[in-house]
Amino acid sequence: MSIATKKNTAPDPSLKIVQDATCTFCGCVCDDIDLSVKDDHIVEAKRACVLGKSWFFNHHTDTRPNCLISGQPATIADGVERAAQILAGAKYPIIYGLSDTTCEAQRVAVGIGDWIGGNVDTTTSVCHGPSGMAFQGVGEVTCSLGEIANRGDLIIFWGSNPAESHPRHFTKYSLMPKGMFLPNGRKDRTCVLVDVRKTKSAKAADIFLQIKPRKDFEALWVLRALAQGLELDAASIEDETGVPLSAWQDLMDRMKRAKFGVILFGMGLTMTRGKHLNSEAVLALVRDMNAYTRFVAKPMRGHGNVTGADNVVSWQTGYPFGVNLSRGYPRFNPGEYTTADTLARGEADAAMIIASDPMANFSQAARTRLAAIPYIALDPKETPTTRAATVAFTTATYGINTPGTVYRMDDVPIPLRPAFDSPHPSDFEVLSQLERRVKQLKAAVRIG
Amino acid sequence: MLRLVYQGQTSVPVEVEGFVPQTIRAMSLAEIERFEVFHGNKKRPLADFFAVSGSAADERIEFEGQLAGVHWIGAGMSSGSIHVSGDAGRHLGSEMSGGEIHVAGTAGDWVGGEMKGGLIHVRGRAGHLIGSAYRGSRHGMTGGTILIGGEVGNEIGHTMRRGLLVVGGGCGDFVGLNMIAGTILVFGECGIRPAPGMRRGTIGLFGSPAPKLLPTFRAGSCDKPLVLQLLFRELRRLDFHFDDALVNANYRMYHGDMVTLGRGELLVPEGVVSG
Repeated sequence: MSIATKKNTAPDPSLKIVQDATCTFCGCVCDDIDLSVKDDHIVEAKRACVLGKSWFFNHHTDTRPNCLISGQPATIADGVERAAQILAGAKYPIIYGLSDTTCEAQRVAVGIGDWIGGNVDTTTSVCHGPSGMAFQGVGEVTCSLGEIANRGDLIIFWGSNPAESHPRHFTKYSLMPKGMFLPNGRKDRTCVLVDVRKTKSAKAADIFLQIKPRKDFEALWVLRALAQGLELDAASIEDETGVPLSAWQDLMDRMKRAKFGVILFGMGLTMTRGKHLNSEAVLALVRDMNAYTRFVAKPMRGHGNVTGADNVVSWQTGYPFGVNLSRGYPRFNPGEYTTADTLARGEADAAMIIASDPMANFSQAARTRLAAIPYIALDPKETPTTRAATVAFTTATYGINTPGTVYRMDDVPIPLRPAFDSPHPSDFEVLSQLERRVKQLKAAVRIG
Repeated sequence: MLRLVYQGQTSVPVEVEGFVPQTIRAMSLAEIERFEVFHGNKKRPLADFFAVSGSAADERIEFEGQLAGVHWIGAGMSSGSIHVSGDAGRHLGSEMSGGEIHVAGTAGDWVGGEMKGGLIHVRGRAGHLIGSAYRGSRHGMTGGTILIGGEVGNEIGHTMRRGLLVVGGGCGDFVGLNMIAGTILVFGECGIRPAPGMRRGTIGLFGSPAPKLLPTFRAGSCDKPLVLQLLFRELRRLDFHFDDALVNANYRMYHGDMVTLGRGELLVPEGVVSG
């Protein structure tokens, strides 16, 4: 080795190394990332995927003030006071977002929802909310990603494109790992992709079944019928699903032969016509398959801590999202208490949006209502939602600036190891102050 | 008769759960005016939203005005009658076990959710999940009759176990989802995927075009089922209007859903073209 090379490999004293940092970009929540930090900037992220690298390298501390009231800089104390007055005085407030913050902050937010008698909803309601509803209707036969890595010999991705949405899922959990009962890794597994288009994930699959758009439910019903040995008309099945009956029969034979089958389903299934009933069909199929072999289903969750939001809201209210607390006890009714609906119907009279941007992706009716009512926004970045907020808090980014807990898509809690400090407070700090002030205001009303 | 004229000027939901004839029949007018209802998360006296007159002693309540933002009307009702001259909000007659509710206008979602008995008649259209189970519940309506004159949304009769649900207009997707028993009649066009997971019960889909059935239904006989003649007679008695030609039509019976128990019956008039 040359002297010049030795010089290049010598550790840079200005570099801070954070080992086993956690990436919160997607639901995989990879916790084996080694970060190199220089001058409050992440310059290297070992083992991170392309999405993770983008998440870490493009993080810049926002130079906006910590708090804006009606667009004007203000102190955090003033912002908390104004926010507390808005929420405590509202008749039908909503708390929404929560998927991109820590469980500790989520817990406080749900507590505020309880104090103000509001509706607590998360971004689950616009992504895998249908799966949450299906769990209530059918139940869930499930497992951890570790079990999939060690046992899963038939992996079916349905309406999901992990090659682009969860790039390390294949290598860490579902296809490549050499597991306890799968010593040859990928060679011991069969991968099936069911989707309406040939995505990049198709290259990784052994079998690709391209079904007609919006025919997921019918296709799943065909599999349920085959699982029970029902005779079906080949011509009508191919006409309806776009896939020959023989291909469905082949898949069913493989499913019955599998030692540990897995269906990993994404929003390609849950957000097409039928929504929660598509999810119910998957869960019912998996339940049926357990008459033959071990079979499980898992939703491919998107946001970094959306699973944590489901867990925290369930832990505190008994339901995962779309919860109304106006009576002093929780009521669950997606479609009635979910944010997109309470806003679009013009019912909500105040809101708190945490780490989410409904102004960018809700319906026009919902955005119009949100713009018309006083609301509070907490976000590390400037977004259409923070720009129109009555009170906007600029907060630190979870995972990069703040510690805490997040949940992986299989409901496993993972600790965060922040890379460097932020000049902005964390969501947890702002929400804790807000909860204290809301409690005081509510107590004053009761005494008065 | 107790007369309530709605004077509310609010977009925040007003919930009148518990304001039913059997509860208020012995109350004075002043007590009724003080009856607590929910305005969002705040408890308010009924008189904040309604001008109240008359007496509730005869267990007849008449609501006047546009009550689309007033929810849970008649929820838990067991006797008497409620008449709404305009529209009604969500959860109309939820879990009611007796009495009658008549709505001249339209109604929101979850009309007759988990209803046990009595009659609900909505002259206009209604929303989703009529006569259905609430999320996570084991059963939808277990008795009584729901008549909707106009169109309805998705998942009507979800996990219904007993009772009669009739829709004069069209319905959305997944009618009779996971139906356990009971009867659903739809006189208008039906959405996709009727009766998935149906175990027992009868669903008449009389509109045109006939819906495409799931592959887990099996064609059966074609005749004039006596049960339909009896049901049509009952609908006439209840002042529910439909096409007389249906009385003498032949009906093809389909059995399903074979992925579950498979003892359900779908009745489609012969000659109706599949969509």
